[in-house]
Amino acid sequence: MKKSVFFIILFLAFIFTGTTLYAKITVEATKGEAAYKKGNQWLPLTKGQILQEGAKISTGVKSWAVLNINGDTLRIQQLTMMEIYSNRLTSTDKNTHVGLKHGTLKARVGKIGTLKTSFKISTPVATSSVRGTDEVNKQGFKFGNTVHVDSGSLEVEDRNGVTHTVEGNSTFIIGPNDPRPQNPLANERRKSLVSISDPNTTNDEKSSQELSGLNNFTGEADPGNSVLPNLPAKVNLEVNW
Amino acid sequence: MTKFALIISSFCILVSSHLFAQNIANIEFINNIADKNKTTFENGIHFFMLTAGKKVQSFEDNMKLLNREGITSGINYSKESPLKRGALALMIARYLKLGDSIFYAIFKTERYAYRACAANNIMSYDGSEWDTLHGSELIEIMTKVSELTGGDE
Repeated sequence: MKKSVFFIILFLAFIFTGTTLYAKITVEATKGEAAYKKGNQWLPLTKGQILQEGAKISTGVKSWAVLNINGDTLRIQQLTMMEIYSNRLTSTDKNTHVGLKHGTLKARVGKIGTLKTSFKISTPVATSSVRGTDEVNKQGFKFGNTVHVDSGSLEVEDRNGVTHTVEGNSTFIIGPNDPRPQNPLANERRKSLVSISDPNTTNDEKSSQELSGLNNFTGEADPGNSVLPNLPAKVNLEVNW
Repeated sequence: MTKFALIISSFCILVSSHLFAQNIANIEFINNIADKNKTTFENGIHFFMLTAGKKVQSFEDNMKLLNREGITSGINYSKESPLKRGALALMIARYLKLGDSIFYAIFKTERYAYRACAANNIMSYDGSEWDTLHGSELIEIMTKVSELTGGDE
């Protein structure tokens, strides 16, 4: 009886240590000035060093560091300041969340079998989520957030909660002041609002407008900016609900 | 023999600790700058020295060195004065030899240096040469300058 209890405890201890120890962040390589913050002090990053959640990392001019986060690679380019918000690995999930204050991060995130992977990079203007591909995420004060993906796709959620999908060899840019707050019903309106037209237009005007596409206003109307400059005016509104 | 080895190892420790302290000082400087709403001309000169791969010394010595290289000639701001986008643009345009802007090629002023920097995607068009620089913007600009001189490899 005592023996079986001992083995059960041993088995449980093995499982728990296995799941917690496996989630680790290792410094794979550094060049030039790369440091991490411990308390109020900056200390140099060294190859093979293990970092914990909450670690802040900063690189200097012409410097970089490469981290291995649970098998995924994160390259921290020059003049970058970032923080590891969280890093969890269980038998079913792999969740990593890092914050980028300024600079450039290059992430290579792989998929392991059926393991649910989430690798998020948050900047002051957006959060991107990548898995099974490479991402280059650049954050700057004036140029905003630039997210590039070579192949595959990733999702970028701006600070208003709107999700954008970036696919293939493409780049997505959110300026520091973009986007403007969006109407929470914008998606519904985009689907529903078919056209706005002036009831007093003549047939000639209508056909001319049809040709130029001016009779149709579809898409995102900004509630702050009038789409018709001479309001109030009578309009025909066609809505599919 | 043992004495010789001891001297060599002490020398190595001394040199590495000095380099380590210098590296950390640069990291601290960059992170202090990042949170500043307004940077000074001295901050700009310090960052410029780092980006150009030169040894950072006192403000006066940095200015002398950059003056000799023609980067700060004619730029006479006190070290405490706010760093203007135009002053930094002129230094960058001279350092990177930006010659593809006709107006800058003719006038060589802060105004047209700023336009040349904006045309080369180093600075944002949003603003003017008179704007004072936020710390994070200074970092962003100097990152672009460093990238253009192969610092991203």
